[in-house]
Amino acid sequence: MSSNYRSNAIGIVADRIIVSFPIFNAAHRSLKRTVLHATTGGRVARESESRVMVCALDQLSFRIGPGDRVGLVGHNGSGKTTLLRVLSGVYEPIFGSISVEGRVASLLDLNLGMDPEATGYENIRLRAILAGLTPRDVEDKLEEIAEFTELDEYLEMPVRTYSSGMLLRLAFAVSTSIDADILLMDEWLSVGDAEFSKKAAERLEGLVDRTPILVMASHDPNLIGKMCNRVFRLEHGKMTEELRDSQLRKTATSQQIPLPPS
Amino acid sequence: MHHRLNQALSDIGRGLYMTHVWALLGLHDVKQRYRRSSLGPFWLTLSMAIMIASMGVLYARLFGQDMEDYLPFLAVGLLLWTFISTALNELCSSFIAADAMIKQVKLPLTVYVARVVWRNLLILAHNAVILVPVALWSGKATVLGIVSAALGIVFLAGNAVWVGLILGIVCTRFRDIPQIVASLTQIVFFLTPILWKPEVLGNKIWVATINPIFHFIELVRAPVLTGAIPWQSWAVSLFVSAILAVIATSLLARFGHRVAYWV
Repeated sequence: MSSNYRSNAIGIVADRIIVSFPIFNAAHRSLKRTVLHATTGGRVARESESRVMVCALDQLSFRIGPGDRVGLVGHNGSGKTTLLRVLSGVYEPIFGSISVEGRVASLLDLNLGMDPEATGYENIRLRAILAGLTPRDVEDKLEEIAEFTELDEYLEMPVRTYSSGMLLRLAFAVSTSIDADILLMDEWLSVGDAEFSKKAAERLEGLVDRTPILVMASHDPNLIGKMCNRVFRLEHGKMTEELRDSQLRKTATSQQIPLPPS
Repeated sequence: MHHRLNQALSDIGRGLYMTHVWALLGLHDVKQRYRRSSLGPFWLTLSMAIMIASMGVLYARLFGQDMEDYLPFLAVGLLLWTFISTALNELCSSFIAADAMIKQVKLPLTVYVARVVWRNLLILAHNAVILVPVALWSGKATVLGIVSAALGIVFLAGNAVWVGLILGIVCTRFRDIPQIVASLTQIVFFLTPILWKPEVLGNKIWVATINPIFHFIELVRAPVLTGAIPWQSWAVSLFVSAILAVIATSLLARFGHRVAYWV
């Protein structure tokens, strides 16, 4: 988790990665069933073996390097979020290899680890530590984050008293305060009322601009056209097409890029 | 396999090293539980004190024991047992309860276990307040005894990490195990010398000495009560600890990467 990677070492290489989920129900999670399975064979064993496996990513291979802005597109359930989780290191592929070099920041779930009973300040610390900052870094950034939220004295109060918009401001401010080499996003983040959302957009764009690699899942063709220079289209866990730069610009501007409705 | 073993060892090493993460999470857990109560975790201390006082009087009578002798024995035993049994049960869900976090950020699994152990240590520290009057009353505690007891608690916490890795992984996959652990801890409570002294077993003392939990408790209880270091219990505990370490590391190496899929 060191941040002293030389910029040319940053990159992602995936080689035929497969991710599949076991879908458990009570019977499958039961110890009794597993013990019977071990001791009897036959009917019970067949039932146990018929456990449903969902193949979420099927033999994906790709290389992503500095300067790449990758857009992931595809229907719901096509594997976009799963791929983002593989890139963040949460899911280890069951087959194939993936190497991710560089510090990864993921903006997948902004409300992660929020403690409703704790104050705004406490939650900033909590979130920042979870995102990989050291306690010293957190104290350095605390003021800047607090100021950005414009929540002032509310930061001394438990976040359970916040409106959902205020909570989002806080989460957004922390999440976007962490510099990384690889930024993972699930849809573009927009927060707050008109004025704040402009400020937020600038902050997010600034973060994206100084991050070498961006991987973003989105249903919005205009956004993908604007932000990305590569597009991976996922369908049932397979990568069915990849557009690059010039191709992408052309299709995006002519509005013919065949993206699903959001 | 070699690569997986390295991964597991680095998970444990890095996980324990990330004190600022698990200490903060553990502290938040305790604070969250008692946030708006005036006594906070001292509610537990209070109820523990009442329980020790009432059971102490009753059981000293029932077992025909001398109060001065029995009450400190019961106090230390119950305190440690509360730590052990609560930790055992909560460790079952160290990963299940942190599912959102596990699916979102890549942290060593050991962090989630250490968090649960830490929060139980914090509660134990609150309860340990009871030991002060008990130690003063019994008057047998020595400096060496207190140091040795403190070492015993650190050792207990270390073993809780091994047990937590084992239970955490197994319980995430098989959701019946937490129930089994809950029933077993209740049975073990009666089989372990906490309410009763091992001496009452007479020549059947093996019932106590084959029980590793008895030895773990003795690591702390013996030095607090008598000031002596229980070498035999240390030997047994170290042996059990080594076995737990091997099981925990192998489970982590074999199944650690599957936990994110199971939670």
